[in-house]
Amino acid sequence: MGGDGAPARGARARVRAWAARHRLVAAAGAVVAVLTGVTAALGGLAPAEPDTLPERAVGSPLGTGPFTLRVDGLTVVPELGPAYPASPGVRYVVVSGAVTGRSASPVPGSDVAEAVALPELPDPLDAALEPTDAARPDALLLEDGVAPAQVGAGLTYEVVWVYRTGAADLAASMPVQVRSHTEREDNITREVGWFDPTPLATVRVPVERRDG
Amino acid sequence: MRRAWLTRLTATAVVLAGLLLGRLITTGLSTESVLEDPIEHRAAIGEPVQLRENTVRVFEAARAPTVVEQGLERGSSGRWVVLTYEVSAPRVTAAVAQVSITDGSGRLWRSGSRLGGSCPAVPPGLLLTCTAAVEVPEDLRADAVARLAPALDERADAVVVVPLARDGALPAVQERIEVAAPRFVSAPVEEAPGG
Repeated sequence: MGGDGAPARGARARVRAWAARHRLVAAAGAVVAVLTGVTAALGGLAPAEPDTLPERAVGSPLGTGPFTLRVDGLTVVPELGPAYPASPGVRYVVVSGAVTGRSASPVPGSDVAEAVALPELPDPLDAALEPTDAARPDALLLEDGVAPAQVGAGLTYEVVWVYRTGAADLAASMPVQVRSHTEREDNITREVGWFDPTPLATVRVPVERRDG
Repeated sequence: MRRAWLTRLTATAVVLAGLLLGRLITTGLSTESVLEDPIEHRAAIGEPVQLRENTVRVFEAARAPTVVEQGLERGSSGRWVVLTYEVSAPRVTAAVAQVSITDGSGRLWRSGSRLGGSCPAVPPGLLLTCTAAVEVPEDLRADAVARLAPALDERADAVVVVPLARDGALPAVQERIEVAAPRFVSAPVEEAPGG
């Protein structure tokens, strides 16, 4: 035992000598060590829990920031008017619902398209019917059949979100992700708007099929 | 030793004074948004307003749950406010580029949300009559005003502000309103502002 003491004392002496020569680095290291210790003590180094979105019922209104949004149903059709013609191996997945404007200023229609996502849509296709990793829907006003230019405060619109898929069959139900936006200044233009679409909740919707 | 501390204290005081000055500049002076506020010209329905380049007169405001444009009906979960106005420009081609409605709750609605109708620019010597339909909710307040702006960006520009209510009440709700296409007519020759 006594033989181990001399090397340990020597090591401590070397550390002290190094710390005396590099006082600033030693102080910074001590601060980092203390902060790490406090963080660990408060649970900051524990593995993060996987994000789970709250589930909401079909037809229940959800506040997303710029809108109150409702998801009513999901239908798969082989065609949907002249803008969405029948094409071999292509199906159109139509999420139906409604949005009501909550923002004091009109919200661009593009934010309506971003307010919904289908994370489990198999074989998503883009507008040119090419495979894509990021399926983005067309949001259409049910009454007008065109994309909304803007959504004003207190106004409600029945909306459909149209996706394209190359999958022959879909599950009996599918999760529809509702996304919120945050109101802030644009970093470049300094105009205040709604940005950063973020998953808010999931609505599991039964898939209805119409074959023609 | 004492002199070194004095130098450090002076440096710290200079840095703090600089930070304080910066804080005063950013919070104590007029903000850009105040400087950029539009210059509002208030007028009643039927009263002409002379702006920098054009003269604008709103001569009718009406409300309905449905409007008809080129044979197409457009319903609403709220109401359409339909404004009919005329524009003339004595010297240069000018336009009303944006029509919007605000009320005391701080909410704002713009025309062009669902209808295609826009008002073209009017060349000198002509009078242009336009109709703008703005979709608003049913709970639009009686203090609502229409804003007619010569440019999409209203900042630091003149804007016509017209209260919609007469005798404290918004226009009566009609069953439906036809949104007319823009119509040019000859304008009486006006004397150009300042000339």
